[in-house]
Amino acid sequence: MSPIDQPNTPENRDKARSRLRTLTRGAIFAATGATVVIGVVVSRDHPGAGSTGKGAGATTPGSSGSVSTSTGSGSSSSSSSNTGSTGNTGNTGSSSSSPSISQSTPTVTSGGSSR
Amino acid sequence: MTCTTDTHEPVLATRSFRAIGTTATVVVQDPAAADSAERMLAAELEALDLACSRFREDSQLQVVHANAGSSVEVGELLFEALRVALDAAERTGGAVDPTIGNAIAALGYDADLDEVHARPPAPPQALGAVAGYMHVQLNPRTRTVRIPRGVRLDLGSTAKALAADRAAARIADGIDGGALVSLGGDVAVAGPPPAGGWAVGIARESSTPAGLVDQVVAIMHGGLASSATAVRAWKVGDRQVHHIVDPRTGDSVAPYWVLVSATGTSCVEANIVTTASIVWGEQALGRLAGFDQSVRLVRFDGKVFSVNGWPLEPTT
Repeated sequence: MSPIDQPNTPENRDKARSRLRTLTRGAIFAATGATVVIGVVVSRDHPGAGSTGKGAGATTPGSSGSVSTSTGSGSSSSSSSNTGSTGNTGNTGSSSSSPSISQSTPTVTSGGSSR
Repeated sequence: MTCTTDTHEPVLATRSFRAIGTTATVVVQDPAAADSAERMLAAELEALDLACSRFREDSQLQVVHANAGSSVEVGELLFEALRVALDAAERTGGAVDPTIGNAIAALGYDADLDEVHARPPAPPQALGAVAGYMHVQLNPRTRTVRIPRGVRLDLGSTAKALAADRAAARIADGIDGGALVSLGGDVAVAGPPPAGGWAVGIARESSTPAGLVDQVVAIMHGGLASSATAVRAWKVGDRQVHHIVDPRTGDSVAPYWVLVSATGTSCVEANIVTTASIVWGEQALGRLAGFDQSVRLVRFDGKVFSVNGWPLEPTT
């Protein structure tokens, strides 16, 4: 049935407005989804924006994982990207083998091995 | 020696001795197992030295060198060390390359480091890019290796880390308890950890006393390794060089990072990242995005960087 055939009654006007709202929501949802897809593709393809490949050959100089810095004295710390960082690689969490701060006395020291 | 430092800390038994040109340490939770653990570690290191040393004339590696250009059947340990070294090279895009043997010898590191330090500085020699790991052929079916004529291998860092992993696993299994093995600061742990984990100090030199370390961290499993440019260094002519070679130049890496430490599911995994980071220099932070390990990097100016969850905290 063509809309033009419908009588211009309050009930039909409400139905038309409801249909329009549904179509609008659908269009917004589709546009948002498309934006996300484009974003993912860009982050994968754009150097420095999303390389997560294994090994040096697959990584991107200038991008960084979760990088934090502190002063050498260790008296303060802050989170920041290093100089030259161009984006989040997606490698933002802790490693499965992350160490934790310990208050115990170390039994060994890891550092340069001079002897 | 039994270490007891605090009534709330676990009592751990430690044994240390000299081996493979560095200090080897084993730590166990059961003091009664310490002697046995030390013997197992010593046996593992003797086996490693006999298989992989580039200083011993009777090592299997020297047989490979002497037969460069031909396929040579090798023992399981050397084959595993070669496999690990080539895997490290591939995963780091060649930053950690075992074909640096001639390059590091040209820099003067052609004998045990104590001997290198004892003699006068050698004159500089011509340096150049190394042959490249891709020219080393392994055949697992025949357990053979073939290297190009004129190439010499240095399995240095990865073999030491592999030895730490193997020894820790063997000891933990042998004593049916937790064990930590440290080879010059490359640490592997196996078995159940003590309460709070294995406490490891982080410092520029692995000989730094416990009270003077930069940071103390605990690991529960796997390994922790460090690489540094200020130690294991010597003079060539009038300049100081160190043991980490850039395969692209055959020269000692310019020290952008003075210390890199990392954890991993094994000491080998950690060691690959620390050695490669030294070679990568200022590109390391970007390169590390492709790895899972937690890493702490100390730059030449003292600034400390943390990657993938290495805890940053004021120094102790």
